[in-house]
Formats: sequence, structure tokens, C-alpha cells
Amino acid sequence: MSHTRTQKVKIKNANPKVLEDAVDMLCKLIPELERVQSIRGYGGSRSSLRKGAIAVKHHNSRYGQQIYLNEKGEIVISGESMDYETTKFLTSQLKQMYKTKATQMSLKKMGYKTQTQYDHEKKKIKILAMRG
Amino acid sequence: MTEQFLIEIEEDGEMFVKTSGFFGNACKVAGDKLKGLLSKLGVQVETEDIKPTDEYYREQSQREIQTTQQ
Repeated sequence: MSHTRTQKVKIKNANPKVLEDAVDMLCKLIPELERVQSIRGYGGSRSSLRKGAIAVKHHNSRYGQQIYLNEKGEIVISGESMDYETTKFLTSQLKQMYKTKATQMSLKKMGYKTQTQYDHEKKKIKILAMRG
Repeated sequence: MTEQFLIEIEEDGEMFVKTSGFFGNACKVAGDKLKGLLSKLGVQVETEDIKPTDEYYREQSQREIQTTQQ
């Protein structure tokens, strides 16, 4: 049965640049995830892709997914025939990465140098920021 | 002295912030500034709990001693 599963990462007024960086970080950290550079050959109908959406593909999932900002500025993850576990996994990870990138950017604006570590075991991000 | 932030972001998005190297209330001011910048990027942070460290109390008492001596 074919269907589209859509899930929101509830961050209102999300910043498109931070979202781009968060998706890049997500793809670097999760080997099963691949950022699709071109929408050509992307699973499902191309017409269902939103303009400016970021396409990602999870190797365990037959079809790809798209990540975009809706009119309210919320992050939306949507994909055709996506399994529940993949959507849930992507949603929680993206929220964590978005917060990480937003925190790094804010600390840099405040004049701090940052070092970031990802604890794979605890699935936790650690940011150390120093100034002076 | 080097000002430091150690921030942990959990899988569910919960954030823990620990600061060191700040003098007195400066850590709270810096924390509020960080919250403001995060808010502009769509990340709303609500402070649930603040626990001053031993370092904070040491600095406070040192400051009180200095004020008394003056």
C-alpha cells in the first residue's frame, strides 16, 4: 500500500540556513542516511517535491524523504511509503541537530570558539564553547 | 580567565548548560543572551532549573570580602 507519511519537527520560525546545516550534519553522523544532491531519480513523483526542499534517503527505506519549511516556518519531514520507525528516527535526530547548529551559530555570534562532539552511545551532543 | 559554556543536547532535544569562568552574575547575563539568539533562530528555551555551582558561591563570598575591605 502506498501512502505519504508526514511529520513535523516543531520548531517555529526555523532558519533555512540552520536547517541546511542540520541536515548536512545529520547525513555525516548517520551512515545510513544520504543527502540527495539532485531530485532527479528521487523515489516517488517529482511533482510531490516542494520547491527548495532537501531530499534525503535512508538506506533501509525504499523511498526517499523530503525536508522543508512550511508556511508557518515549521520543519516538515515527508515521504512516500515511509515506515514509521524511519520517520520517528529522522524527526528526533533532526530536532537535535537543528538545536546543535543553532547553538553553535549563537555562541559564535557571542564571540566563543566551539568544539562539538557526538556521543554515539548516549546519542547526546556536547558543545564546549570558550572565550578569553 | 576563560569563560566556558558546556552544553549538552539530549536525543529528545533537552538542553543542559553549565558555565564556568564567569564573574558573579555574568553567567546569567550570557545565558540570557544565548537564549535570545536561539529564540531568533526558532529555538525556544525555557529554563526549568538553575543550580549555582560551588564556584559561583566562592566568587560571591570573595566579592563580599573585597567590598568589606574597601
